[in-house]
Amino acid sequence: MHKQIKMITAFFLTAAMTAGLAGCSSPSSDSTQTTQAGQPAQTNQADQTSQAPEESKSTDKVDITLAVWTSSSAAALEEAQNTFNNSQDKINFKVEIQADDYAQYLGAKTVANDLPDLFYLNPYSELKQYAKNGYLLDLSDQPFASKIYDSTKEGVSYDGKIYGYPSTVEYWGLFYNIDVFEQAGITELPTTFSQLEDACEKLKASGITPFAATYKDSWTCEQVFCALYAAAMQDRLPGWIDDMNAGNSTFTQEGVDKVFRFIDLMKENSGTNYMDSDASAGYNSFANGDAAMIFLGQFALRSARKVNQDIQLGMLPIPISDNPEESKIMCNTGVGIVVNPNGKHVQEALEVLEYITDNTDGVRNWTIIMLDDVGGAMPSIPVKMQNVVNEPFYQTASQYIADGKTMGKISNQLNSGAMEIIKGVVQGYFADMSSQEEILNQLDEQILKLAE
Amino acid sequence: MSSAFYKKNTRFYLALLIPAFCLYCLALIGPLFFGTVPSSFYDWNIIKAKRNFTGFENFAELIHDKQFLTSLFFTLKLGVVTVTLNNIIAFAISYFLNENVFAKGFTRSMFFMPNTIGGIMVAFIWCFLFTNVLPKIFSAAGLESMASISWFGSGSMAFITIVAAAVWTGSGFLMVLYLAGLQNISADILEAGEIDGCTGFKKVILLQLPLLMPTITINLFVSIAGAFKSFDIPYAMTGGGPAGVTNTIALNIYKDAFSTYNMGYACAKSVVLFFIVMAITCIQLRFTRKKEVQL
Repeated sequence: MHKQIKMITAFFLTAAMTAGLAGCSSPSSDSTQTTQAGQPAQTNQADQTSQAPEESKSTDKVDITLAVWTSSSAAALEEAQNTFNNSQDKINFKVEIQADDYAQYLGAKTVANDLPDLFYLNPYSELKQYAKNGYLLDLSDQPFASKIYDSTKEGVSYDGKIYGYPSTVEYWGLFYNIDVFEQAGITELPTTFSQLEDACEKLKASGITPFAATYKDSWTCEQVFCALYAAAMQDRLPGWIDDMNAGNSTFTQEGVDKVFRFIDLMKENSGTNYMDSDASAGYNSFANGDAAMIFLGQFALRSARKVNQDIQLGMLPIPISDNPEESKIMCNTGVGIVVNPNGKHVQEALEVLEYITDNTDGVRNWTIIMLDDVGGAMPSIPVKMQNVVNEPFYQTASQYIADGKTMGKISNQLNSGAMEIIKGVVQGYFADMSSQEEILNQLDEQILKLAE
Repeated sequence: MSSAFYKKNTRFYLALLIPAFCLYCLALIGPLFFGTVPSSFYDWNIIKAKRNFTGFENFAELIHDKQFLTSLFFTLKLGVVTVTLNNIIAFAISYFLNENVFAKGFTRSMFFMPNTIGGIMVAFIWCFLFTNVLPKIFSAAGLESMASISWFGSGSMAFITIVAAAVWTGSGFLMVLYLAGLQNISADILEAGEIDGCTGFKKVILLQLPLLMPTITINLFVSIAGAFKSFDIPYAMTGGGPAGVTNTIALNIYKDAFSTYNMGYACAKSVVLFFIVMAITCIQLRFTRKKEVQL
């Protein structure tokens, strides 16, 4: 008897210890709701009304919420929100920054059929998935649809219709410190791989680390790999992505050696203990002039400029081979702003979206507030920027985008889940834990499984 | 406490448990048995909004899942090392603190303090030590080979960093329990032992440790369960890297549920983890309880 009590106690104590973990998945207790999630329309309305009845009564304004993921642009978001609220008295527009993991927030909201009026989504596979399940309003007839650049449409379209506003176009390349390059005597900018090798030698001779290491953060390895892989594939990329998503291709393609040759060059030229350096350490060493180049997206420049106000920033397209024509930059629609078709005030949400997509000259609109700064992404509609246009790196990037010398980001275009896989696998090559062949096999094995 | 007295009031004691038990059911047992366990039988991706009943398919897939097995093995390794080190270090510290040392109260709180710092902060502190402080100390001391160690560049080194942080923060709590246990041992027994010639190391092994068995039972239980759930320190120190070799099961489950949205599969992993921890703790409880001495 006594023994039994002990065993039962042990059982419950163990449950207590592990249930903390199991609790992570507690949204699943709403499982009945989830099974009906295919038709989110009916249950939602009541929730929406009960959400903010007091405020709307007292001010006679309609509340419209835009959920966004955490970013360093909180001040800009607030300005953009207030600009709209001051311009009219019908709608109370609220930007909700999700401090926690955005994917987790969105997952829980989706399960509970309680999506906000407007929200950020990752373009490509995630946005398509939401569109397919009827969570998004068809925006093909909205005024912005005719204004956005063609190259940005792919990321926000599903089945020929536009479901989101691509509010940013992020871009990746080799950003460099202009003064440091001059100091090392690099007069001609490297446009081919061998010129880049020479530049690295010159930098090292002047006691400067050529590349800022960020590889402790696996997402930086993933972004570098995606940019290099796209560069190595050139025009074969879109077809390859379709084949991979159908489960009929492999990462082992002609030219893939160039990807690993480039990573080897980075490893040799990133200083000692480069695996111990995370993104913020990398931003710092780049900003302080300890490292000459950083291979990441434009967002890295915001931190660099914050640390060092005087840093002069230039950009090199990725010199993957010895043919300068193959040097391009990687672009990716970074944010898709989408509308919840089951929100209570869809019409008002569309009015807010119209404000967000406004590109009238001479107006300090959403795009200028959000993007016109070092580290800001490119807009997807023609907007006259004022500050950032004077930066050399921005001029290079705009030129390449205008010339169409861009490539897509594979981790966003491959089936959902690919990014997480690439992060984990590719870091192994940076850390000298796996060979080129092993990396390619692991990628094939795990990513082709997503096609099932 | 006499057992007659205990028996008389059993009902009252059980009644005292009710409020805590209700909360426990609401917050833990409920979600576990009505959420996690049923969901583990479904193929359920949260953004695809589809839930297909697949029976034991998730569990069958687990056996072939290399990442899961790697993280399971890593968690076991981490568990064995941290549980052992935590308990040995905690016992050693409490043993010396139990003697008359200088500034006892202050020293005791110094050792306990790391336990009051959150896991993420602990990870940042140790990351800073490993990447900025240690290399500088080593190169100042002329030990270039030590200074050039890449602490996060290989699985084995990253493992050491996690163990260091986990032991630093974990042993303080166990120390307090050991200290309480040591102070509870009647001075008469120890004195009698000493008169019989049982002193020094012999006294620890033959007298103090056996009398500490109830505390050891609790401490092992707490540290084993803690080791299996370890999430915050590996998450903030290595993020599971390099290349996923320092993923603990908890981290692996988290990534499955919220990065690839595979909720059903993640629930199946949680259930497996639950049974593993239960099995280990049951064995441990049986084993250590047997060794407890009744006075």
